[in-house]
Amino acid sequence: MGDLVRVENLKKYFPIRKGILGKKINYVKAVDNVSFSIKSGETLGLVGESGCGKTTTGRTVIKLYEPTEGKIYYEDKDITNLTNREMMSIRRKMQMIFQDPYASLNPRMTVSDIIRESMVVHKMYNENERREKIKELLDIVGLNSEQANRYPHEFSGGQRQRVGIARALAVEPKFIICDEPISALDVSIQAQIINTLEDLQKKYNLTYLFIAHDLSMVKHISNKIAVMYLGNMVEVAESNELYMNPQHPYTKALLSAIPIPDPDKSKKKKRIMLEGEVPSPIKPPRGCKFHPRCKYKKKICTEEQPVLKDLGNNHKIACHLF
Amino acid sequence: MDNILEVTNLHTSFYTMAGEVKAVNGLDFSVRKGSTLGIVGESGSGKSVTMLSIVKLLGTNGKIKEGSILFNGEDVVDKKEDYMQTLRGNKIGMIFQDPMTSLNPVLTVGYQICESLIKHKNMSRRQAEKKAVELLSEVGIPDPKNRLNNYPHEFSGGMRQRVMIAIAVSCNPQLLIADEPTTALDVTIQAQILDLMKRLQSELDTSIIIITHDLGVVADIADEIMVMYGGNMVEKGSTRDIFYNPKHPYTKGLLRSVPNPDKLIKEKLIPIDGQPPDLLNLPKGCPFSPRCPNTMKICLMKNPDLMEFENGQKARCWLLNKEARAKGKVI
Repeated sequence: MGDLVRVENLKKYFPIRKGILGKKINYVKAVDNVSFSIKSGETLGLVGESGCGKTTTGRTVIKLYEPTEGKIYYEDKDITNLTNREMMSIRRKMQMIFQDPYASLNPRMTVSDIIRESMVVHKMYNENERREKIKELLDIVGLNSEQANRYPHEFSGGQRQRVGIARALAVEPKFIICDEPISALDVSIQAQIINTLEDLQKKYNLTYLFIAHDLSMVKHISNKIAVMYLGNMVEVAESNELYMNPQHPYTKALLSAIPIPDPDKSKKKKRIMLEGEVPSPIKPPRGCKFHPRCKYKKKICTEEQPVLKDLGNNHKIACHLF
Repeated sequence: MDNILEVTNLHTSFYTMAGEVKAVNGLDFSVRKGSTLGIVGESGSGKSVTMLSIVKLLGTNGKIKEGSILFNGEDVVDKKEDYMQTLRGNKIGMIFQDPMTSLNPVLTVGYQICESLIKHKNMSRRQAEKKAVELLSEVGIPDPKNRLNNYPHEFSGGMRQRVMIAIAVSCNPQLLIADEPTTALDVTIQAQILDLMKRLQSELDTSIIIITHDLGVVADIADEIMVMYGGNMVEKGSTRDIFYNPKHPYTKGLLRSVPNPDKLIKEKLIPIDGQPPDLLNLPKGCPFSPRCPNTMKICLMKNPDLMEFENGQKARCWLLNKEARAKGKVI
């Protein structure tokens, strides 16, 4: 099996507490029964609207959150119940790049300290080697190694994101979770970062979980795309297949809403307008969670939650219409 | 007169501890009545400062140094605050980027909508509330009567942006300025909001300036597009001309750096190298020259003038000047 990461029936509920005794009165079902796998060297794109649980999924996979239920496998090893100490060696292989390059770098540390820290934590290399390594890493991500002693505020957004990438690469990971790595950047800089990520993937055979809401960028970088809605995975397919042949009513609406940078095509494009907004994950609707906004809903949709079905061609969908 | 807004030679600067930040340098543009102008450019290109200059909300350290801004033929640059208050929210509606922070969290939504109606349209509170209910249902908020008494935190992001739009259009403005109105929203909600803006425009015949960095959004909504870089316009033209016949290397670069989801075979993106300019010390010549693939000697020495083409398209680049191009060598 070539799966580097496999997730089975993952659930993450956050309790809502009330009163002085902190009684659990309800749960936010941020991730509710999500399964996927990523092959080594490939990219899985995770898309969906804000609050659909994509970031929580990413963070639970790397065990920044303890999963409520389900299994997480890394190289076919069950890492779900590992202690923090046992996770250390695995975390070296799993790194994360964060959304906000302004908030995810410590403003009081120089760039070289930021990159060095992860090597120190994982007790890699001696001090001389680390210095060499930092130079090399800055070079790899396209920064000038003379800038190593500067502070994050001296860099622009795109450069800071490069520092974030260098930090993630410092411990030689195999799997990187990119949580909206480009959404805070200017358009002309986004392409730079995407190209850098692609080059690095080829060079080091990296595996990415790419979380984003910019669907055209996700399509560009991913081999496979999973669409999430309110904590559920509603559709998974190869990226071209998903774009050319979306099946789930939600995916169709989502794709039709992407603004295309081409005025003639944009005029011709038929938009499927979704009514209303995403319901609260505290009180999700019964049955299929999408049914209050779905045009095609049937009786069964309000009663029973659909499960992922394989339509063939590696195209999976959770919908009662199929 | 067919221009609702005419901006000539606008210079806006901010005075900071580090020195003078020249945010807008000699900008000229106009907006036709009833049309939509899209302004695109990266952060720091002067898009938002241009908008804030028009309504004169620059804060204490910002100043319009030079130029004129004619709104309906009348120059607002030298007008006093009292006069500006009769324009803002009345003849000029504003929608800001972040619906979370641009509504007052301690006042009900109803109060905030009624405020401008009472101030500008001399309505009584009861009349204003009636109108507010109409406005909320117009922008697609269910159960508007009860929602009037809710506070902003009881609305979702898309709903709050609708409330912002309701406030902005409450006094039937002649000009609506929307600064990144959909950037904080999800695509499905973005589509709803853009649709709403288009519908309101056709009903009220409002002129719109929409500021965004999303090329897809302007392709959808704008009649004309102005591309800004380093505090000035580098290109302006009809939406079709800008997308299908861009003249300036920055515009071309922007269009190339976004992926086209319709392509089945994966092509590598072509980014624009380098970083946006530092407004504290702009390069001497063309501000784009450090990132331009075809920089010539003259580009480093002198900022080019705006060239106008037969189709009305305008661009600011030495490469379009035949003489400069013949003499100049690409370095």
